Amino acid sequence: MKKKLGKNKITNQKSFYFEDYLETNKKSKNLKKHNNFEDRNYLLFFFFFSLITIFSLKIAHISLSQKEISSFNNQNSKLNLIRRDIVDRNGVIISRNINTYHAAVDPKLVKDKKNFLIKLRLIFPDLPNDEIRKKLNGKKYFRIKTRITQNEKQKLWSLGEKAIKFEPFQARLYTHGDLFSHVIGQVDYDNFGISGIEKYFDKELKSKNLKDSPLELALDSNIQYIINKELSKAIKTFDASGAAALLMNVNNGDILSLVSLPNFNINQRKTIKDKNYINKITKGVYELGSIFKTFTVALALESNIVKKDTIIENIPRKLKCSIHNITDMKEHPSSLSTEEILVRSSNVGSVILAQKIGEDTFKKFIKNTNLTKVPEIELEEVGVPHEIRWNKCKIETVSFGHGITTTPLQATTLYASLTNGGNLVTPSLIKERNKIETKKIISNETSKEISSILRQVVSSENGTASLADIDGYYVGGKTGTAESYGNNKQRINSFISVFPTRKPSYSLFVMLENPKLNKDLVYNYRGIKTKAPYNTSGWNSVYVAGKIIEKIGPILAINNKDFLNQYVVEKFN
Amino acid sequence: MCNSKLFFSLTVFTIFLIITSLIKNQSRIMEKQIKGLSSDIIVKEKNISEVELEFSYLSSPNKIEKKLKSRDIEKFEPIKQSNIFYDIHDLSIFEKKLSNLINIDEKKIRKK
Repeated sequence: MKKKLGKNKITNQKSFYFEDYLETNKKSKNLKKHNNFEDRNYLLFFFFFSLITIFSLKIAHISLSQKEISSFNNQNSKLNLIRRDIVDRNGVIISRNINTYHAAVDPKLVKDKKNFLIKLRLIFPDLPNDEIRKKLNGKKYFRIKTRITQNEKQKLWSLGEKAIKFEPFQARLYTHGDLFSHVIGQVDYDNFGISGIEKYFDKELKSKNLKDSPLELALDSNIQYIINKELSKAIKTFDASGAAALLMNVNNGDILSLVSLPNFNINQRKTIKDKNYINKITKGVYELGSIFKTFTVALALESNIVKKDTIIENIPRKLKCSIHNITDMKEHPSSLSTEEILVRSSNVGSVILAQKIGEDTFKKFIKNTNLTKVPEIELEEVGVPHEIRWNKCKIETVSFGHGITTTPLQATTLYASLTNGGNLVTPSLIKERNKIETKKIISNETSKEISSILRQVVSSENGTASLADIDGYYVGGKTGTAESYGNNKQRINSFISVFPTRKPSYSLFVMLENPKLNKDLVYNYRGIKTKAPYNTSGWNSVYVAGKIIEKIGPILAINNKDFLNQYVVEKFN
Repeated sequence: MCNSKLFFSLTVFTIFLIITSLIKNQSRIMEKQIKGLSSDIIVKEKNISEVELEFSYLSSPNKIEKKLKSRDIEKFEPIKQSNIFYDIHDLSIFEKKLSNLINIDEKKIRKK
């Protein structure tokens, strides 16, 4: 470089300043060129490197983040259902949303209206032709059919008419029709719950966070079907106006079945004004009669006033209390033990026990057991028991279930609580939602005694519920024959059973409304074939409960060791 | 000097150009595949949903009972308590008793 500079100085130097200037200019130009060239290189390198990095990152992103992509697709998916599924305890679908369409017509786009009408009539002969013709002559967009099937959509599509529009719409489908009508309820056309579980869990069923997990109910479809079938049969056999049943797990309050008849198909929208269609288990408020005697005896045992075998002597045939004449339906011995009072269902005996217990203790018990409060359940269709006015003779009538009203749900819950060891349970339609509350209403000992007395009601000769003594299930329970509250013409025959009484697991309530005496029905009463002498619970509700237990017992795997059914083998007969 | 740099930059440019186009192409193919697969998934999800509903409807106890009736199986009763064994031990005891009874019967027949 120095040599070059020297040469330039000797040969070409005209003006030192100018030459120097020229040289530096040239140098800087060269340098600039060189720098520009490098800069471009760097820029290109940077540009391509960035592109490669971006695309590599994109590939890595696509390959690694499968979840995000699938969720993105799900958002665009046609299966983006508004409401979650409702399933039973075994995962059987009870209700699910489906994508369906409404067929509509834009009259402006119809070219040949006459031809269009003929085509429509061929597909849907039932459509009101005149009405559609009028609408076609107008300019307003209108629907020709709502909730069309896939087949109907295909037929309309094949017409090739631009004017036909398909409006996507989500409908709720109930696979079991009328089986769960009183529990599940319905939704309106905009997918808002309007009754039953659909209404109570409306927000949860629409929750996007829980979209993939169905709402799992405690109900069992098979058991529900068996009970529904037996009750329907009973309505025919005893010419009853209605019937209801409830099966509850006594240990956690899970409701395995809730049937109220008559019922209705929830896939169809209809306005029902007939009060007979109410949910009799949760909304029906009844005077359940002798079923209450169990509570009186339990309270007497718990208060240590009497023991199971304490003999109450000189029980009168008739007892007058204010204006009431309290008598027994049958004649009983004048001396009865506490157990026998319940087994024989003695009204007078119960009154004597209640008088010994005292009004304050009785009031406290009723308050603690929520018998006369609004029932707690995941439904809005609940009845309000009448308020008790503790006037003269109230404790006496309440002791055998008169002058006090409650819902079958509350009565069954209390039976469950009395036999599970004395822990107050909360009934629930959601699977394993509740755990046993710490609130004890009676001791373990009293609970065991009550279970054994209830077993005697079914198994002993003097008991009122022999027809429910199904081999192998150790059924215990109490009958109740009463009139509907405020309506003396209505007869309510009910039976609450608990089984197996050795280790109570389930409580079953069966109720028949206005049953009649079936003179043709032959019963197998303790091995003797006989006909019903009275129209009492023992001859209808108990009979129905027995039929139900016989059929649901194997499904519930009663007495099966650890409730495992894996070694169950049928006998080779 | 200049030529080598130019050559170097052109090579880098070409290599990057090829790599970029390759990667871009690859990602486009992948995207297409994903779109195709996701639309397949949607169709399959829809089919599964419909099949599940149909299964639930057709396997409901009411439907099963109707099918049984249509096949002349009128009485579909659950197994009775006395006909159920709770474990294999119970079954073997029962089988032993049964075989003993059969042996006794056979002996009686032979004696006669």
